[in-house]
Amino acid sequence: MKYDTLEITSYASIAVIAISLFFIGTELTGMATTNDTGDVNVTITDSAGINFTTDLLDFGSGAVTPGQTAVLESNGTGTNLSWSGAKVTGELVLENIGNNNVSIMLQTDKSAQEFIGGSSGATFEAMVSNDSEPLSCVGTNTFTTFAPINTTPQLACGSFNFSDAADELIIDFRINIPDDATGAKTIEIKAIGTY
Amino acid sequence: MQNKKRVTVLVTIALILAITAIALNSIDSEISTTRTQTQDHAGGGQIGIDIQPPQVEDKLLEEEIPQQ
Repeated sequence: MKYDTLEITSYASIAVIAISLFFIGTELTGMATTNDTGDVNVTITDSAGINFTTDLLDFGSGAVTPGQTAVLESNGTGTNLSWSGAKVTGELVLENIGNNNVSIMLQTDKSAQEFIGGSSGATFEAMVSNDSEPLSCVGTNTFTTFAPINTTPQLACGSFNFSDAADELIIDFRINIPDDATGAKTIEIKAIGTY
Repeated sequence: MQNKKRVTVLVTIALILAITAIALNSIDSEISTTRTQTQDHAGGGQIGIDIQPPQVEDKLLEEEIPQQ
């Protein structure tokens, strides 16, 4: 029995097709006799990204009135009590630069006492708002008014929006300084975004 | 001639499928159906303040200054 080249090539091709389909995962089945549904899975890559677009707030220089505790607030209408320095207005600005809504936790790298010093009475508080871009934050916010911020992460926004028109949080601060605290002080604010 | 065309088509399909099978096996393509929790940290927001010592009036020094 003699086979010609075309025939051999055809059989070889059919064999390659069958083997390839086996490896790809296609299975030969009988004719469908009923309606069936198929599932298509697709993975869309998403990412979380947050960034301090304003990452420095300097309360400046000043002295506490003897016998008093100075109270400094960074928001525009805030107080500047028992402090010889100028009233400072400013804030940190946090932006959602990812393509997901995220929850935001805030924490510091040191306690209020470690930050300010003095014998007693030092406090450090934060307030988170979305006044600049309303609807940026939906959900639970521990810092709707000034509340203590410390080294333990606390929820600052249950759902921080990522859309360009509403993806910005304003973080203001209030510091209570006892009159026996002195020196140049810094503290770091860390934001943690999770989705 | 007609048979030759058919075989050519068959060989082409076989080659495409073979390459696809090899490619899929080599990259071990699997679509993950699980979702992991993703976190991003934005550290580095800095707050600074310079607290000067209070200026205390030295009454004693004033008293020691001789009156003219």
